[in-house]
Amino acid sequence: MKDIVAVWWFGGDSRRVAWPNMRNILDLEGRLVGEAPIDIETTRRLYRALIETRAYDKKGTTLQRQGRLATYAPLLGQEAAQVGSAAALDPHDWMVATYRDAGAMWMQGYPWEVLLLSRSGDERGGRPPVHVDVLPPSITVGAHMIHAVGISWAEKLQGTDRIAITYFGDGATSEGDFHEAMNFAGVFKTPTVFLCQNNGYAISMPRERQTASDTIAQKADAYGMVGEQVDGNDLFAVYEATKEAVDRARAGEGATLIEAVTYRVGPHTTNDDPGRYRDPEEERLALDRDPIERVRRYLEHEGAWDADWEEAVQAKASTTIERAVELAESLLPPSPEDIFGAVYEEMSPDLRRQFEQVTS
Amino acid sequence: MRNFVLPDIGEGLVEAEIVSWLVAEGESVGLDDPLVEVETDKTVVVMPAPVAGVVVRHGAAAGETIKVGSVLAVIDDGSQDDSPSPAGATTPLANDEIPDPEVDPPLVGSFGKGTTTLGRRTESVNAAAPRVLALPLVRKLAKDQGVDLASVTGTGPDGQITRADVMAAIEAKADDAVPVVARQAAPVAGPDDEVIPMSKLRRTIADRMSQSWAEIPRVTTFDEVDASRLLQARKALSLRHSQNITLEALVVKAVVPALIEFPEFNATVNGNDMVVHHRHHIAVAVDTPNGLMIPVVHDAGLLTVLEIATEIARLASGAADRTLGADDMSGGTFTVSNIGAVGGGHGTPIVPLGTTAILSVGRAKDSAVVRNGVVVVAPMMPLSLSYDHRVIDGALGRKFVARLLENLAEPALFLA
Repeated sequence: MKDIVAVWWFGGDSRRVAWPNMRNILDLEGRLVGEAPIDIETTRRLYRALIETRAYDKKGTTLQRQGRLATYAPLLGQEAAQVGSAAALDPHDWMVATYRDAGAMWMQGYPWEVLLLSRSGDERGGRPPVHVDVLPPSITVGAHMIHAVGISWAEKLQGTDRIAITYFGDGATSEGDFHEAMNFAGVFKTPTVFLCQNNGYAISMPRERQTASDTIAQKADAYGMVGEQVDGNDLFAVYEATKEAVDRARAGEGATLIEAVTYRVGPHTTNDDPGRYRDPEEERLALDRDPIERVRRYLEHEGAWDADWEEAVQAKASTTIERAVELAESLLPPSPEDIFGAVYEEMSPDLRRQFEQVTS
Repeated sequence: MRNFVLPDIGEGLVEAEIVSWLVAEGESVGLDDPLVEVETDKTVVVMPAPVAGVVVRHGAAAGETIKVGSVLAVIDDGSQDDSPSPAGATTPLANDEIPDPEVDPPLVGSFGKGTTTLGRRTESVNAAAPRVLALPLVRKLAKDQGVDLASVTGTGPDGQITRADVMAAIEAKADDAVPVVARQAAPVAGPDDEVIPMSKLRRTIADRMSQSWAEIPRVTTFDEVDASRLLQARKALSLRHSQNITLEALVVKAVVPALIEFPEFNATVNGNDMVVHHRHHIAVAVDTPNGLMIPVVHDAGLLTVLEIATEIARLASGAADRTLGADDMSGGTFTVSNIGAVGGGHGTPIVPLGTTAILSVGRAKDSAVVRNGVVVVAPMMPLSLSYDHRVIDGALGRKFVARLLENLAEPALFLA
């Protein structure tokens, strides 16, 4: 069974890629092939989070099509990689993520309505509540991993037990900043967790053209840190691997690179048409690997799921997201002071002139 | 009543074509349910309804093109006001900030002054007049010319009124004519006629043809070549490789050495410059059910005839089912059009924009030719070469054709 789970389809040629060492706990049928790292009640809580994340994601694409959001980057299919990893954090841990990581950011306290603002060109989307130590989503690919290393190094120097997790994709591992971040984290043993969601594509570039390495996880070897590949559509495997990495970081044992193998079911963004570069057959196969369905089946086997509860969970998710939309859209447009004051402590002469033009 | 305005669903989208309506006029639609399929220059997208209600009116019929910022659909959601929905192009302002467009038209991108940043919008937006969007320059022009912006239909993004819109309004006023929106050509279709809207592809073809016709003064030169050896070579190659080597593949291969010798035929006229291309990307005309497409065999000079034939076959089937990418459809530096495939003889092809010449090849027909004073039968293949007369003189055109005739008459010359 384990072998079957560890088979993924990537790339335009639908080449079969199997990784024998990929961590896996829940198989496609939702049966345990290892030991569950969390109890049933926690699993039910995370199941609700998975459903809510998917509801947000679906709404995100819808709102963009209605002209109410700027370009949106769907995370469909990556829910378990995000929810499972974020669930392993303490509330005071840092998170440095990207435009496709709404599920993880929300888990760590970034409100849905603020995430929506960040996708509608509103600077206030970059300001979560004060107690939330999640940086605004990075739009530039790969530029933010060094921030997580710096933050976690600062925590280490101050002698706290706080760690930083950073999310990025397979494409980001080809950026120079990935090397700098990994190298620094390795040398200084910073309390950092590098969580790579390998979703098969960097826009249209398939994973096998991204790196000649067999896995992304093995890159950790070169930096003297622990690296591990997990089935990113297996909530339990992602949770367990992240928990171990977080514990190691907190214990002063340094950074970890986790490669969560998942699949980007949707387009890169609402401005992309994957039909031009990948076989629709892949998307169909990805549906068999739905990370949420796997947890649902597990709960059902355990007698902890029924249709009534499902309906209630779906309804609550839908209401929560609709409320977030309402809240985000009910805000007055940002003031010019807000927009011009968001970047520099003191406005440059050019900005000052533009500001005066707008406000005069 | 809610107006659902076509948003920019891409990045910098200007217009989209309605593919099909998924909810008819008079039918109900649920919140976020699929309402209409539209095609942008990138892809086909399903647009979800921003409110639940009855679809009162479609903004455009299937096949029509609609600009970003114009009304895509009107949906009756039970609300009384006709104010823009949150999905609308305009943003409702707080009550105390409602501008009077007659007196104090707000600037594009202006904000309510003195509002609390995180304050909530007041619930009632009934009184909000639709905002007129226009740049200050355009506003000034309108004011100077006495044009009321509220009476002008904007064609810019989000319905923004452009300088051209105001100029049209001034003109209309001068003519003492009908409102700007109604200024269209007189109807040409009567009850006995049928109006068939052109598809996006057809309109693209039409635009390019008109542009080429207007821009490129082209001349066409005709000739014929004895194709017996060419046809023999084709047969031999097809047999040896168990693959149908098309005549087109051989012609493409034969053209490249002539282009190397006469680079003016593999060039682009750019203002006062002629840009000579050192790579030879040969576009091949493909007839598809949707219309003419000219995909490109890149670096044809570096390919064998076999490879060219395989590439053309791939391009032709890709063109037929419209799966070719932008790379396959662009970058051509010379065009070969095999009208012989559909039985054609000579033609007067139009030079594709961005190139200087096009060769059309007709069907080889057994003809009587005089050779050494004797009439013999030979398969004569008609050639028609159109070229840009701005950069290619008649003598040069003849030289090019002569070299081409040599190559095609004796394939050894270009297959070597």
